[in-house]
Amino acid sequence: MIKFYNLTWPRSQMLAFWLVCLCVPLFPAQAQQAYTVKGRIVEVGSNIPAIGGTVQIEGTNFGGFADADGYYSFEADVVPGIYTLVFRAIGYEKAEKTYNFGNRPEINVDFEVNTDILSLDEVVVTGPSVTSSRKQLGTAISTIAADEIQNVGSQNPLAAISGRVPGAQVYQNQGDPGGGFSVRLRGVSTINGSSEPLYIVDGVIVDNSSTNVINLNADAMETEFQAGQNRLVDINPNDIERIEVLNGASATAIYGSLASNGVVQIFTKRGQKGKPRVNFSTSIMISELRKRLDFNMFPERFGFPGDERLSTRGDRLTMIADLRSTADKLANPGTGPAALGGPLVENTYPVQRYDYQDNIFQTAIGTDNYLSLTGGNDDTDYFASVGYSRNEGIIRNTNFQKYGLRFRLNHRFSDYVNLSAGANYTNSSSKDMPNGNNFFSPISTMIIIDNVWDITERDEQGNLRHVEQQRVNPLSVIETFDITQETNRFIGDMQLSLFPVEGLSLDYKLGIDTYSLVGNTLQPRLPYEPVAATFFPDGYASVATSNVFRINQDWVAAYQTDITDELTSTTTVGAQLIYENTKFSRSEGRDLAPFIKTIDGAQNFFNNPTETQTEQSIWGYFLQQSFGYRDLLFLTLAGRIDGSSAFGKDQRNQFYPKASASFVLSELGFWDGTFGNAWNTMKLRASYGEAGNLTVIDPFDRFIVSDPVVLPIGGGFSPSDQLGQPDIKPERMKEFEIGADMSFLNSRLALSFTYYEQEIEDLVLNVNVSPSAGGRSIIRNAGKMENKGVELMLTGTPVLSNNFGWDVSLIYSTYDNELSGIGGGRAGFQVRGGGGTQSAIDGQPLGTFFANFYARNDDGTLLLNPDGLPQVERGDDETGTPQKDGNGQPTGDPLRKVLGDPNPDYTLSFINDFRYKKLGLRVQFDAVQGFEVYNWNKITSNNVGASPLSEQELRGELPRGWVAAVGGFIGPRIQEEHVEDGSFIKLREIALTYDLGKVGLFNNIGVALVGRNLFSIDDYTGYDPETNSAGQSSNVRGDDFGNVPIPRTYQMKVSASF
Amino acid sequence: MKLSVYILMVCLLISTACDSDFPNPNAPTNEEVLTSAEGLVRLVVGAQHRYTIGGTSGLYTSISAAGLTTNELRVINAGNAQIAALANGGDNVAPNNTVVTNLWTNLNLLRFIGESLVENQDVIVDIDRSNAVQIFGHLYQAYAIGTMAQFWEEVVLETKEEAEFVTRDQGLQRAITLLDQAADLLESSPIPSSITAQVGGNIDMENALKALSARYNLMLGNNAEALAKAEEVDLTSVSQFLFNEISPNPVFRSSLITNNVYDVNPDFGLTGALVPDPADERIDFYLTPNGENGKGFFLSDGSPIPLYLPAEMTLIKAEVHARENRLTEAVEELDNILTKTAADDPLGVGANLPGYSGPDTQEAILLEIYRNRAIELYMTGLKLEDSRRFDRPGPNDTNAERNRNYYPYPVTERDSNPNTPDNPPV
Repeated sequence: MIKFYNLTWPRSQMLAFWLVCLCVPLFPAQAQQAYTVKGRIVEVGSNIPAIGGTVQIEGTNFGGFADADGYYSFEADVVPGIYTLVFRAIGYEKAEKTYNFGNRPEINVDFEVNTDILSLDEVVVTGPSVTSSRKQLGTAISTIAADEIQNVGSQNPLAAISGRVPGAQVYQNQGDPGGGFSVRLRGVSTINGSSEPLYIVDGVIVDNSSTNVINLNADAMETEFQAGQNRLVDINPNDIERIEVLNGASATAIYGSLASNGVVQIFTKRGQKGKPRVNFSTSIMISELRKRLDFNMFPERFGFPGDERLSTRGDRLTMIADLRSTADKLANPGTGPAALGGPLVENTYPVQRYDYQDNIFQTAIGTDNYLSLTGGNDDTDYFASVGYSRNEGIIRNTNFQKYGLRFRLNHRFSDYVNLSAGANYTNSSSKDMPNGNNFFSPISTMIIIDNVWDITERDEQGNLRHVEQQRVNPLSVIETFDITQETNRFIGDMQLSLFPVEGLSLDYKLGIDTYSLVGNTLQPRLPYEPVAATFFPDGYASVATSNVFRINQDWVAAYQTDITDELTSTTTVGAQLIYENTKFSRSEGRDLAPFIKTIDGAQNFFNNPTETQTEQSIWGYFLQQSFGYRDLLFLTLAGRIDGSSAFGKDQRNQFYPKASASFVLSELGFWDGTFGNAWNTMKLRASYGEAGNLTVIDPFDRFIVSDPVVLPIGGGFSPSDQLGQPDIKPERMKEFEIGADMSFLNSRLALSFTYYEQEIEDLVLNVNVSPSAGGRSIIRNAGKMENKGVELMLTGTPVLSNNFGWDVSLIYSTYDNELSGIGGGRAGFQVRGGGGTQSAIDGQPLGTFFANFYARNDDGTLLLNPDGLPQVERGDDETGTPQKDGNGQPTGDPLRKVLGDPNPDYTLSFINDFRYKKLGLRVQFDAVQGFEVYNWNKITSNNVGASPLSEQELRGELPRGWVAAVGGFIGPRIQEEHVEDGSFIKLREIALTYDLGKVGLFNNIGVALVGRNLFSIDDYTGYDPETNSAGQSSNVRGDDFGNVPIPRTYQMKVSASF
Repeated sequence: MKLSVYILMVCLLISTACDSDFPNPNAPTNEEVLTSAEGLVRLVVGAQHRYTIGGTSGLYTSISAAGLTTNELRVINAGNAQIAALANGGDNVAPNNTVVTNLWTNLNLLRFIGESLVENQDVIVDIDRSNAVQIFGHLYQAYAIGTMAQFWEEVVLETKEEAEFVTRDQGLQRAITLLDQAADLLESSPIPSSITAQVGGNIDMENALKALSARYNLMLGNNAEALAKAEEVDLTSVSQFLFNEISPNPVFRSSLITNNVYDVNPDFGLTGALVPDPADERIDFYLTPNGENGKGFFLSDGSPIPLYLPAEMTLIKAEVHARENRLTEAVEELDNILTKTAADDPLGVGANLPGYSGPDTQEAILLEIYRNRAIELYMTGLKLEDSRRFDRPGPNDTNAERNRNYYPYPVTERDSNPNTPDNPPV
């Protein structure tokens, strides 16, 4: 067998390419004549230019773009005869005009075109090199155009999807400038793997993983969170021409095992024929903390005064700690609850309290500069761009910067052969702080100490001083930690298209995505003590690298033919091969020598350096057959056979079928006569498809392995306590969707409606096994997940005139996720380590908060214990039945129940676009409603005494011990207190744009003022309900543990073209 | 010409058939380890690593759990909810308590490795090496089952799905049988130096097997056998687990270093008549001068932790004599403990006190033996068993000295094993 990935084959492949290229000039030449084709395109019945469209001579590669005033012009060499000119543009219906190309070299054709509010004529990509017009599709596919992406005010291209795609939940998980985004199309669809869609940039499958290279020591809870950057941040939003989103398996089946989470296709800008044109833009960004938290400002504290730095032992954790005197302990010996709690001290003493937020946060400045150049002639066009951006974070001493270079060349060798090649290089780097989910991140250090220490105070040598014992001074983190990561990434592609005979196209595509990510962490020795050893008071240094290489190739042949005048057939057959390898290595050390900034300063290598290598290949073959009956009825059948080396030998080959139908009722003869312009379009669609999820297991997860270990006595093997299963198979999503697309009132109003049902079978779960069976957990296929929902998109143009335009769009999506067959009884099993707040439970959505709750009286008031403190409900936790003792007090085990889940019930976005002459205003509200967040920050700030609840107890408004009771120090923790409604409505974006038009040398100068996340309407008591300390994790969401809130951002952008 | 293009396209397609079986370079499969002589020997090290390294290890969790349940240890930061629950005892120790769950899991996994060593020993051709691997397999199985019997009323003897439970007495009996079998093997074929070169010579196998047998026989009430085995142990011999910075002493690294998890109780947590004599030099060995920080075998990442203390054998002898009402012999052995100096003890533990001068009654002598076990064997994970065997005040008694008798069976066990017994009330 020939390995397709080794060094020998690309050479042979290249040879083949050039052979093909050499062949090109040999195609027979014909008697051609040169023509200049030009004209103007305007909207029907108006003088409004239709911009950005193309006019092409059908059946040839000759065509041109319309400029900002609607004029187009291009040269064509064709044999004289009758040709059809076709106009296509996003947002307009396709238009055709037939013209006789005779002796006159100048051809003048004007178009009047209809707006296509449903975009039914837009060509979208539905598979590897497979395209289709929206009219023919049985599924909803969303497109986001460049002008919607440019002014988003974020460095991550995924921000552009937020609020613009029905069925898409887009979250920024951390407010750092390079902070991770996650996209959930139609909700979560896996437990063990990633719910991120497949990302394809110009036909290249690109990596969007979140590899942790800087927080190796920070996953305090062993939760394997995916915090940090997601690698799609390496794509510059300025380079994007459009984004297409395929929501689920019914649309993505021919992407096979990769596509069960949907597909996001990003198309970058291409060359435009004509004189070289330069576009330049520069912008300044200002970010700030959107919301400040309230802290306890009551100038007293429980306990007995210590020294002036409050460093006596009794001063720790005064809200909850055992502050009994030694004499008291001796007088009341014994173990049990008395040893911990006992009567909490009632004495208070005066203190000064501080608001540390000013020490942690800053107003951040950023800039984004971009230059692109495009041009070309009829045969060759090019696009080149360079970008540089740098943004500070709202946490002091954090930033993110990115350099990018992009180049694309298209060359037409003849009418029959097209070649396109693109290359993109990015260097992304950031200065970070420890992520959330540990107690030495900037926000956690601030919240885990009582706010009674002056953190800015320094000793004679200028060193910061200690705060609460065992804890880290937040300013030590901000001022001395040096944590950086840097990515060097190349994405390139080469695409060859052949049109050997009419109706037949052959495409070959080769894409490579490779990057190297290096993370360095330096936490210098802390100049004070005592600090808990787990926070590395002796210093910590680490270096980790992640190398990823992926190559994908597609071969697609499509043949289109007219069977009869009215019946057309398109047959597409294709193959796809993907190979990837990853190498990850890490070294850590502590006990640092001074001066040295690298791991060479470490004197205690407490963890063995580790290295992990993986290799994986995926192969798939697909066939798609479409029939079209006039423009009325379309039917598509497709299937893909797919395999991956990650799965068991008997499960290697999977078949994913797809069927879809589209029925354009408004094409029926009676329609126009009956409804006229009141109801222009009516399309019904239905689709079914299946797709797989390969991300659920790592390439070698199916093996039961023994881990290498080292003891002073020698090296050995320790069998992993996670058992594998050799016959594991991919999760399979089966999706059915139906929908309708309608337009009314002269296409001024449109409504799209979709209902979908997804069933994800054979969920790959890491389930607990009885330890007596020889393991802790096993990876197996078990259970299933269902997603159901409705997607509605209403778009309209209430006002349209030459001077004033107003577009409205309303996107509403519902989500309903439910698990079944995974077992574990009413408690299911926990998906979040460290506290286990989130669970997977049959009959409930993934990540449900299943936890302890308040004991209540029948009228809903709290059932207090004899000391007047709140307590958990108790009873039989296996059945969930509460039990009361003779005094009416709860008895039995602490009960747990469903307290909510982090998946929204619905998302809604409301976008208004106003245009007055050259002035534009765009306002977008995003609402995410009906989900819960677990507020860990609240627990810690309560327990240490810094929160408003602690203040109430200090003031005597709550009985002494209330915080201890809620926090779990008098009886179990009452987790209900920390589960909060996260529903929010955010002013996601407001953008004011003004085009100055032609100024001097410049063809156009534009100015934009953009505000992002300016305000939020929510009841959440923490910083930001949208963030997630688990980052891009699929199963843990709504987890607020030291998260950096998403800032309020203002951007001013000037762009010019010449 | 066109044809040649098609042919090229087709050729490209065919030529790229791809590899679908990639070997895992990161770790061998269990099967590879178990079916090779080299792998199996390295599994001996794996067994010790499994039991001794990390916050989920059996060594850490047995010392922590027993210590928290019997007042040896105190919780420093009550935010550590799982260990706080153990310190609070009673109902607070839920079946999903992570310390209890880790202890159960680790001991089961250790027993499983022990079984694997025995079952696969025939892949090693050399009979002495093969026997040596088998002896280690017996040792770790016995140790796992014996330790389990100290914390649960019923235990599992053999690794399998839906494993059956037997009483702890049956468990201890099984442990003794395994130790005896190992001793028989050892007699016929001593552990070759080629094995100790690979797995370390830190365990003096002959004495370790006897010492553990003495321990488990005592727990079972087989006084004569316990005495006989204890008598056979060479009191100068030391068997211990070794650590370094990469594989650190788990009690030091996970708890005592941080001063934020748990630490020692003053006076070893003993109260009333049991409070140690201030002149007892073992106080200095185990506790810092303020009595609030632990030292003992947990001074640094590299401090070794003994598999058993030789003094335990002396205390077993004393206890057997006392229980059999041979009070003179009992006091004689007790005095060996009381008057021992640090210099006399291979591990440096010595009370250096005068001999026993209390009442010459069985009850008083047993109490003194208990007190000395509590001090001499501080933080060895044995105190819960001792507290029960000496019938000290239990969870529902006044002045309770332990807050549970046995632990509940972890939820993870019950969830997929229908044979899991009911949880004890306390």
